Amino acid sequence: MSCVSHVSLSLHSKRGFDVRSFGTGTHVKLPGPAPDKPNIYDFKTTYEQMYNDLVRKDKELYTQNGILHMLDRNKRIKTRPERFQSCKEQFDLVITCEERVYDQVLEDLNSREQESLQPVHVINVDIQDNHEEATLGAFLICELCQCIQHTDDMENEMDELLQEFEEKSQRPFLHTVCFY
Amino acid sequence: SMAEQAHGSVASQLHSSEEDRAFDMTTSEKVVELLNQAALISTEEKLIVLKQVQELIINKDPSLLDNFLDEIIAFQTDKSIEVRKFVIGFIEEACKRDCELLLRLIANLNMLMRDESVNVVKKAILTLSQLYKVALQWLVRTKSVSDMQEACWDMVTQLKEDVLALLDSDNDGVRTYAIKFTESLIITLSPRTPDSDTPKKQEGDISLDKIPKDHTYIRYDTLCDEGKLALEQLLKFMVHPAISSINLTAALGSLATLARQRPMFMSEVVQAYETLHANLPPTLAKSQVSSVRKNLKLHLVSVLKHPSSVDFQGQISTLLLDLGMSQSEISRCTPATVQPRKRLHHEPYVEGKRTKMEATLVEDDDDKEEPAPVVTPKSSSTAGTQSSIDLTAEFLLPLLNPENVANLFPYELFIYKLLEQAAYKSPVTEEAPQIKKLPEPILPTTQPKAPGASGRKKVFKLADVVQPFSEAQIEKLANMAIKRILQSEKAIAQSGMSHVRVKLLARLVTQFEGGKKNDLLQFILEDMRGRSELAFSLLFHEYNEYLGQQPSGSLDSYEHCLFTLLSGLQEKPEQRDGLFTKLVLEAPVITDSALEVIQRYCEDESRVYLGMSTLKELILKRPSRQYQYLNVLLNLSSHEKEKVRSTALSFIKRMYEKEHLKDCIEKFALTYMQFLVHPNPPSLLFGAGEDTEVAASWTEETVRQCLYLYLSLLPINHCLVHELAAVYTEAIADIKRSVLRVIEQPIRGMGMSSPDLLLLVEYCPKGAETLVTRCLHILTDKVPPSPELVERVRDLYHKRVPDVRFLIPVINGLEKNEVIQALPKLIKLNPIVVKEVFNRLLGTQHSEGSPSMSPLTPGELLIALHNIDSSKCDMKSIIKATNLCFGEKNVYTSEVLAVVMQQLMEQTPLPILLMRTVIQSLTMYPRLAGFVMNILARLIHKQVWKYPKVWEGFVKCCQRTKPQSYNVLLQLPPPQLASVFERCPEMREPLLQHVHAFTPHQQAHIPASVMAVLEANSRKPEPEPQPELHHPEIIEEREVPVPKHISVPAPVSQAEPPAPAPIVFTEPPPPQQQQQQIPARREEEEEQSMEQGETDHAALEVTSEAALQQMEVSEEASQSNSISEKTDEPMEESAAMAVDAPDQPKDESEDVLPEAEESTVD
Repeated sequence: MSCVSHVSLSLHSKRGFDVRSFGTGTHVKLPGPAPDKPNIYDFKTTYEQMYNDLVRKDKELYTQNGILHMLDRNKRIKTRPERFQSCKEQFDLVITCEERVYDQVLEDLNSREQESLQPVHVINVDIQDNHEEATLGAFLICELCQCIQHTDDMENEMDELLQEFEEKSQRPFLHTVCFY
Repeated sequence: SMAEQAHGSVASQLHSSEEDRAFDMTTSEKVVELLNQAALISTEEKLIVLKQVQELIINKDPSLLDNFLDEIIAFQTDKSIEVRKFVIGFIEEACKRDCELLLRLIANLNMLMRDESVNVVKKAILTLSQLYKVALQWLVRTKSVSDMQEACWDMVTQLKEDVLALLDSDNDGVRTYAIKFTESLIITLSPRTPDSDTPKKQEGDISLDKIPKDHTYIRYDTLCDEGKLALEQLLKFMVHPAISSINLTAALGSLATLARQRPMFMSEVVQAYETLHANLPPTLAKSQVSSVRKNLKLHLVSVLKHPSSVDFQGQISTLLLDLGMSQSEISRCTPATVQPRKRLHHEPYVEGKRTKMEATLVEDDDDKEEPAPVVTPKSSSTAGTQSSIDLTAEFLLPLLNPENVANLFPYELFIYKLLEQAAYKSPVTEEAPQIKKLPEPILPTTQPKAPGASGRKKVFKLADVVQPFSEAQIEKLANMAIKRILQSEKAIAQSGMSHVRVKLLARLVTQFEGGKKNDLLQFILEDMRGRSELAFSLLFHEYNEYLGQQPSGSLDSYEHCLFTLLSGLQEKPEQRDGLFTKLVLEAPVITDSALEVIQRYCEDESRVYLGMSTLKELILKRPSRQYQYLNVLLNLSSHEKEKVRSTALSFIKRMYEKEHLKDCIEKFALTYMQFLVHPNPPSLLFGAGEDTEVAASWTEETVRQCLYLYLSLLPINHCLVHELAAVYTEAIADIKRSVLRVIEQPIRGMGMSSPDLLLLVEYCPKGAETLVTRCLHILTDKVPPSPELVERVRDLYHKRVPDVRFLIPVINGLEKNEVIQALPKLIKLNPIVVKEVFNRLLGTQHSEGSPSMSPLTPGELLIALHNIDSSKCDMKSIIKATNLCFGEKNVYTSEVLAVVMQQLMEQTPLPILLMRTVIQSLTMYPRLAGFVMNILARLIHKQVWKYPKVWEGFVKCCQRTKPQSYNVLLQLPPPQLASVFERCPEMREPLLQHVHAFTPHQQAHIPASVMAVLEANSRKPEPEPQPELHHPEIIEEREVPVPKHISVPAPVSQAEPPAPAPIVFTEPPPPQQQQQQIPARREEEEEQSMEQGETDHAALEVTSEAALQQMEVSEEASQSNSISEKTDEPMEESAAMAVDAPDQPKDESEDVLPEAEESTVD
């Protein structure tokens, strides 16, 4: 699962998926006091440091908008955010939640030198950046993953499965295959 | 994202613990151990272990690779998909490490490529992408290519074709992989040029430009063609109207890769993109269209960024604009114009190369490297200027590949043309061919029938110059023709047309009868490896022929072909490349005779594994005749060769897990076992050939034969044990004995917690007692019995079969009083059995298991023996039992014996064997003398003379311990002292002397009455012992008061101080004492072996086995008038007499005293 600013780890530790989450941007952006004043960190910053930084800046605000809660949960999963482009491991499936991220992932995967020719499927499910959408989207993605996991032959059934989901959720999915 | 990751933490844990254990092992040993583990563990762990093995033999010590190759490859039939995929990965790594391995492994990859799981097939495709390059590079490096290498490359080429064919697979994922393979193939089979954009890691990869044009085997032109063809296939694939969105995406990516890595294809790629953009497949959903367009954009940009796109920038920009990219963005992606100029300079070179390459296509059958005729093939944009014939030719040319041509024309036409040519060249010689079968199709002889009628010139008539051939000539010519085709193997192979030749031969020969077929088969068998293609082709054609003749067709010809090929392979000494397996698995039908060859193959010890793996594949993958195949394997499970048998058994065990085969296997095993109830072994056991009435009797070997399979299933399915019991009860004694011998491993495998075994013990069927006992012994041989087991045995003993022998195996699980109660019965058993009982009770069993928790201490056991009610057991048996105790000197130390004596001495009445034990203890431990003196003195207090046997022993003891015993003797009342002298007159004088040596003061303490006895020669009246009472307890102690004054002062204390009661002896006994014991022991042994002789079973190694042998014999004996029981009876009687009648002659009473005494006295 990849997000621009790598803030959502919601699929983690749920239902036994072997999941890693990544960001794709150059920085980690968290909401700030105003839409045009985000908090920006680089990928070296730990969740712990972000948390402490925000507590220092405005504990009230960041508790209220849930950011602190989220950071607290994230730091229990791993120490710092990871950037997809720096990860050399091979995956079967990458899910993105924003077309821009999908593009970045595709660009990255296509720019890598092919070696094993092992395919990786990339799917984008557009999810608006608000709380309600995020929750619905999380469920949708989770369900999608479950369905994929239960297929006997993922690559053969993927097309049909995505069509079904598209119809059900009434949102378009982008889907492609890249190769390692 | 869902990641396919190894479970890293588990792996490292397993790895480190492995390392600890395997710290000082060699790599080879480590590998062996890991492989052994791998056979037994779960898939997940197996993968970890196998990966370790791979690391060890590929990276750490590649010299081991060859050794363990087969073991790893054997996992290619594992039921787990992941394991099979691992094997493929292993094949890849192994071949990359050592190209030579391709020779062996390519066949395995071929097999895996046909796996039932698509995931395995996919992995195989990926690996082939790599190995294709490896193989090609290897062959190119090799100066002279061997036959084996040729065969290997043939298979690689075939595999390549197979994967290309998978572009038409039904499975979307498989097609995706096939696309990537095609991409990689095209890159390899086209030349790298200076403007090629080559990934760093692939810089060393082989490509067409590195292939020498004069290589002895690898044909540059052929490969070049194949590459072109692959590109065509890919392009064709892309324009399929129903292509799936993912396939399309993959193909778009492949084209971009091709354009960048092989800019010579830029034009085709851009054109394909244009076509696609204009005609997106109508089957795509709306969102799929967006996905595809997005991809197209991405790939176009990447192509555009390549310097060689310069000629196509216009087309690409147009497309990108259409796809919604802004002009400024496009410009940003377009390479600077300086670059293309430079490139243009290189263009002629590239162009020239292309031309040449295509030209070589045309000069197909010409081997010489002549400059190509200047045919200038132009891209289709120039098609408008071509003539319609050119267009047709262009259309037809690609279709006219040798494959199609061979299919197009029937063989007759082909041969005919050959012959026709020959006919014209030499019309009068024998060589001039004519084949009767083909009635004059060239020149219609009817037409020029009227010569001269028209007055024209004489028309050439073929019929005038050629004569019809005789049958023999035709036959001969046909044979020669075929022979020529056969012999042209090398030449045709060099021209790359081997497959045409193969097809031709197969088709031809199938048409003919006998002789030619055999010739061809012989030819194939001369080099089966190199000619396997021909073999398969022939076989398939034979089968086709059969199908064509349905419904009346006969399989004979096909069967003959298959049988000959298989027999040929089977009879060849060394075959490692699995050709036999391949032939069996790919043969459309396995006939009976073929199955016989397979069986013979399995019976060959050096191929048994491969043979049975093949058989297994047949069983699992050809369900229609599954049971017939299974039967072959089942029959092998009782094979006389150990290796054949054990391999068969291990295969069957694995199949036994399959629900649909289970019944059949079980039925077979039970049928065989049930043979055991027959009086004679069925002829079946002596091989199928001899079905004469065999009146042979059962032998150990035939019995085992009936049991092998059953016994190997038993630990897997415990409830089968009841069937064994049922058979056992009906079997004759010899069989029973054999059965008892062979069940050890399986029963141990079941373990004492097995509910079925416990049930068997509980309901022990009549006649199966010895079986149950044997089981009990096996189970408790190394480990103490479980409470459940003890409980079942106790129940059995008390409620159903009161045979004390059941108790022996669980004796240490019984309560103390139970053991004591059973002792009288136990010690009456065969001496060897008794010995075993004692070993168990005393913990002196030979087993290395945990120290058994005996319910009795050694001391308690010995005391219990003394206290056995003489009405329940004869004295002789008791004495023998105590002797067994004394035999265990490590257990019965002086301390233990001192405690025993002390306790026995305190009992009332005194046990009859008390003095025997005292004397024996003294013999063993002479330093117990002081302690014994105390005992003797105490016995005087207990009026020991009232117990004749004990009294007798008392006197003997005094006799042996003089002069220490003098002080004890002096404590006796005068009548008893007189009685002593009566028995041993020689004692009197020394005792008197002893007293005379006292000081007068001391002498004053000796009562006159005693002195009188000492001094009087035989003047005194004999003090008769009290009338003997069988129950001495009625004698009151005070009846004969003991002269107390004697015991108080110890008159000879300075001479011989009595030893304090419990003494700790640390020194070994004096040597002469030991020697004295040896004769005594020997006597015991002789006695035992004599009894063994009585039971007629002298040669028994294991005591537990001895126990049941004894049991078995008495059981049989009880059925047919006992022998052993009769011999037992007199023993019991005589023993009873010894107890009941104390005034028996001396030899009887000796029983009660140790035999050892004799030797000491002398």
